[in-house]
Amino acid sequence: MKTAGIHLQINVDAANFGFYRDLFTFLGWQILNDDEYVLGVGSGEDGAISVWFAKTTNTAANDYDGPGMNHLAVHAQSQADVDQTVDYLRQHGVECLFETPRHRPDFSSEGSTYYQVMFASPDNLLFEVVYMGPKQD
Amino acid sequence: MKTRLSHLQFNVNAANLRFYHDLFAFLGWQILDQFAGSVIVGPGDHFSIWFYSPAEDVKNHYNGPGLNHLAIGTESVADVDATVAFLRERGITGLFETPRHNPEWMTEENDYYQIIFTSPDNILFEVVYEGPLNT
Repeated sequence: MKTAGIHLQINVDAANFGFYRDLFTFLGWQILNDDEYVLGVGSGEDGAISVWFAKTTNTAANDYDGPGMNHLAVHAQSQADVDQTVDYLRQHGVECLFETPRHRPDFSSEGSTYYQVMFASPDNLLFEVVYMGPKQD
Repeated sequence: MKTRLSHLQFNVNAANLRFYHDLFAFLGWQILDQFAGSVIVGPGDHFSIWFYSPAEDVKNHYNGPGLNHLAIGTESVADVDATVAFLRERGITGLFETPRHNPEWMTEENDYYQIIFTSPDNILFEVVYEGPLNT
């Protein structure tokens, strides 16, 4: 079998749609849908992958360390892009988690680095923006 | 800036790693890596899913804040039916009256034929054919 495309539905408080709209616009994604119920975004580079933020009123106290999605990682093309994301998050009052931004030697191979920032959205969903490639320092 | 989806990490119970390995191998994905407590799979491009164990012993709900479901597209209705058979062999049945052609997402020309199910970790998945009718 050969698969053809992937989408994710992520439930969030609709009051936070603006956070995701602004974040993914900053990250260079396209807005695929934007109404009071669903915000859809796609990276454009691979239109076969899209993420749909759907309004929920369910307030279950989900824990990202429990069974299920721990985090969603977005790939950046440079270390500078990760640093720009850090600046963007700080400007929006979002705390960087787990001592990031930092290089992760445990995820790097020879001649390559894994440079990441991790943060939680207002819905306490864990995101990562990561550059993987030749070290650019 | 230009970015793309890199990867997802799912926390799962170690006893269920084989399920994800077999499911994604069945769906035609590559097993990119396996090590203690982990299976990493990818469809053959830059994207990957990391299944990591252990998971904290808490009860998450897919209707709450967070991932509701991950959907994998197929190239035909027959692929969805083959997935249904694969799941039934493992005692997993479709949820929400699936498999079915979902009129909510269909158009005059295009089909939306889906199976929705939960993994042994109660993670919601969909396998769906979206494309011309009558394939």
